[in-house]
Amino acid sequence: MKKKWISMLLCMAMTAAALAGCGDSGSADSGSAGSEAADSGTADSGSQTAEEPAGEVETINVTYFSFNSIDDTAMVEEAVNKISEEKIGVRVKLNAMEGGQYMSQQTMLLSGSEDIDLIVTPLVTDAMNSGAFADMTDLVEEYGQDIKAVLGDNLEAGKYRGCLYGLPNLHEYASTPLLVYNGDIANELGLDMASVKKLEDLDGILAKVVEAYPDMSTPLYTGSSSGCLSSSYHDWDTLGDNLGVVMFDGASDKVVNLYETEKYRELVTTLHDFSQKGYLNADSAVLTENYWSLVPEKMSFGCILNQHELIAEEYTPSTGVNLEIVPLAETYRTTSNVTTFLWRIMSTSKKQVSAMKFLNLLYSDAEVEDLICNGIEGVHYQVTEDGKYTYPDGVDFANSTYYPNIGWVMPNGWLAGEWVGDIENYGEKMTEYNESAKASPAYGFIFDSSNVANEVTACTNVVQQYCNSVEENGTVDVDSAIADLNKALKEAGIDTVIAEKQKQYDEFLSNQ
Amino acid sequence: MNNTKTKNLMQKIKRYWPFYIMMLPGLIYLFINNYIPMTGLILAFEKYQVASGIYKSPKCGLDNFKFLFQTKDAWIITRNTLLYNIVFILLGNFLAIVVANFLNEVKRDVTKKVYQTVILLPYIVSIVVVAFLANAFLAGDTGFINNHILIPLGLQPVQFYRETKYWPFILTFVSLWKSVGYSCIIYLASIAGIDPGLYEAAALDGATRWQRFVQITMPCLKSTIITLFILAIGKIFYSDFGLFYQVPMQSGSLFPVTQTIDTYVFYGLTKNNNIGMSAAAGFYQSLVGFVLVLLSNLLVRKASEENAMF
Repeated sequence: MKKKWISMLLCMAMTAAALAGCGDSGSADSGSAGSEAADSGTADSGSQTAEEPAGEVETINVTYFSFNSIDDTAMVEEAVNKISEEKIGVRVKLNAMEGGQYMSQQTMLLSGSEDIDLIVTPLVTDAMNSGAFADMTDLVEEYGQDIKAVLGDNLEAGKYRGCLYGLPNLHEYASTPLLVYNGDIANELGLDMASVKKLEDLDGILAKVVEAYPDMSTPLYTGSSSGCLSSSYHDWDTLGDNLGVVMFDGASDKVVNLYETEKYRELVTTLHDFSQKGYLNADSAVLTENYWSLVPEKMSFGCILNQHELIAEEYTPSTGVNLEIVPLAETYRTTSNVTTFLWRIMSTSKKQVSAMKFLNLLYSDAEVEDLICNGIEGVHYQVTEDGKYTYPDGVDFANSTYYPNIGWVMPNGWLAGEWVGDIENYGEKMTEYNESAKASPAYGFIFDSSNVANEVTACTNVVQQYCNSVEENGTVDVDSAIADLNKALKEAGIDTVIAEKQKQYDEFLSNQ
Repeated sequence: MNNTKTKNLMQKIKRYWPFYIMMLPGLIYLFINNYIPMTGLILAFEKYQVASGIYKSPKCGLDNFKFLFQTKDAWIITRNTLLYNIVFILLGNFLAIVVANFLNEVKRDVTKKVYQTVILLPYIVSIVVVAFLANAFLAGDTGFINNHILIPLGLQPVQFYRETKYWPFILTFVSLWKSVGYSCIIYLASIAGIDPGLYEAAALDGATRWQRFVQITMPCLKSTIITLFILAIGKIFYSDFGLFYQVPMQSGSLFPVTQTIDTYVFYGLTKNNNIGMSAAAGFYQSLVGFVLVLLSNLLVRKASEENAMF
């Protein structure tokens, strides 16, 4: 009898669990989808009935992401709609996603199953190949006059196989291989930083730093998110993935195997030397802390990376260290720099004209841009006497309900108001920097890896496996380490990748 | 024959209809959640085009599978996946049975609960946290093992994240430490279900603890062991992604011993997120898993029919 009861109970519990599970996922899914549908539905039907005479007001879904607080997006959306409905007759649904969630769902968002009109993405060549995005060439001509004015020639960077699949947002379009370093320590030790012109020159400097701070774990920070220094510090055009590159000082029409070049050998030799002298972190392969958190602790002196020249100024307030930079090579503008983030119209969108109109507004309308980047005055920020933004009384970073910090994602974040502590006239300074850069010979070239996807996948894995120990492990022999890497790459088919890249690059050059 | 079967089923439905209704939501859920998405397997044979959608994209035969077998890594990742899983299954089950038996012998309820909780704790800890715990022990300059064991003993510090030879042991240890608490619960439940009369009778006949374990506990656990074994075999081509991705901290030098099918696919495809190729990898894993389940069940049925799952 007892047993029967237990099994009954179990049965009920399981049914309940199944129901709950079903209901949960069901309601969550249908909830979000439903609300979107409801939104667009009501808007559509509303426009059809009430605003029929004034023309249909379409609601477009704009998808972007933020790593900070975006709770009050609905409130901002309302304010944006007021302006955009009046100016261009378009309403928007601001679909601000949490950054991590966006990154993990990106492939799905681009697979065409979601109801998205406007979206910001990285380069994502594969999605372009699969036809996820609409060609904007004609739309820009017709509705994007302001965009053309703002972007100028850089509009071309979004071109892929002759189609304009995306528009770059305004940000740094170039990068300089440089050293960011702790200026306080440099002053204290009287280091002659002006004498540093290239990576090798750091030897003497770092020797003094190590002598003065023997406990420093990472005198020279070389870590990068992808594990390879050569992907974050380079004075060649990586053509996106370092599998076949164009050298700035070599033949500009040749795609070469980076790992066989003399330049790479020199870089590796210098790093080995540094590693043996204890300038690099012994665990650089698995370093989890970034430079900006090590430098205030005096655990790191300098960091080499490719960045724009304002980087030191940008990080000085948050680190509390007087950061400075020394360029270690020339500044170049490359496709990868310009195409960090591209604004796209989905090919599945049925409201492409409205989407383009709104995108045009985002590139040119300071009011809209400011609303989305900073929220509503008096609620999310207040303006100080000198026109800078700051948190309203009683609000700070931790409890702010809208502080998305997305100036670097939005089409034209430079239009938005500047906060207290931000670099003044950032936009102007950056424009100046962008214009000072030389264009890479391969500027505008985007590699389509779909024909050699298998080889690229295999090579990516090889690089992931070898590069850290080749580049930053002083205990192995430089020549044999590079030889091993190249042998593995050859087996993985890097020659096929380079040949394909060269073919596409030749085509690109002949079309210019 | 067939007729009587349907008749039986009809009779059963008539008799137990409330239970069938109870089962219905679960079945519907299973169908929607597990069976309908299976049609997406077609992606593995397609060059996916957003505009054409999942079912109408151009077919490309087995092209998507090539990257899994193209390089010499194919052998290494398959070997790693299989060997690690075999070790985890054998050692994991062995330890779980031993621990379950020990726990069962603890007579005081409070003590038993405390032990059980302590053993279960690692299972609840997120693998990312585990990776950092391991890092605290293994780190080259600040790690516990180097700073508090090797150096005071006058030994050379070891750069764990660069040397492959330690990792098969580290990964096995971490995996067992993390999973044994969970898997022993199932054995504990089975042991608790064994008729105490058997043990009493055996004890009266003078059987030692060891004899009771071998002669009573083990035979009674046989079907549980076989079920868990077959379930585990089905997953033998899947590796615990968190374990192999997080715990070695993505150190490239360790790839020869830490790279498994899942991490290989992940590293390779995060660069060019090709939907077809990832679908192909998943398809290959489930296909091999499916075949292995059938095979192991067949073997079990040959050995002792009543213990086979189907």
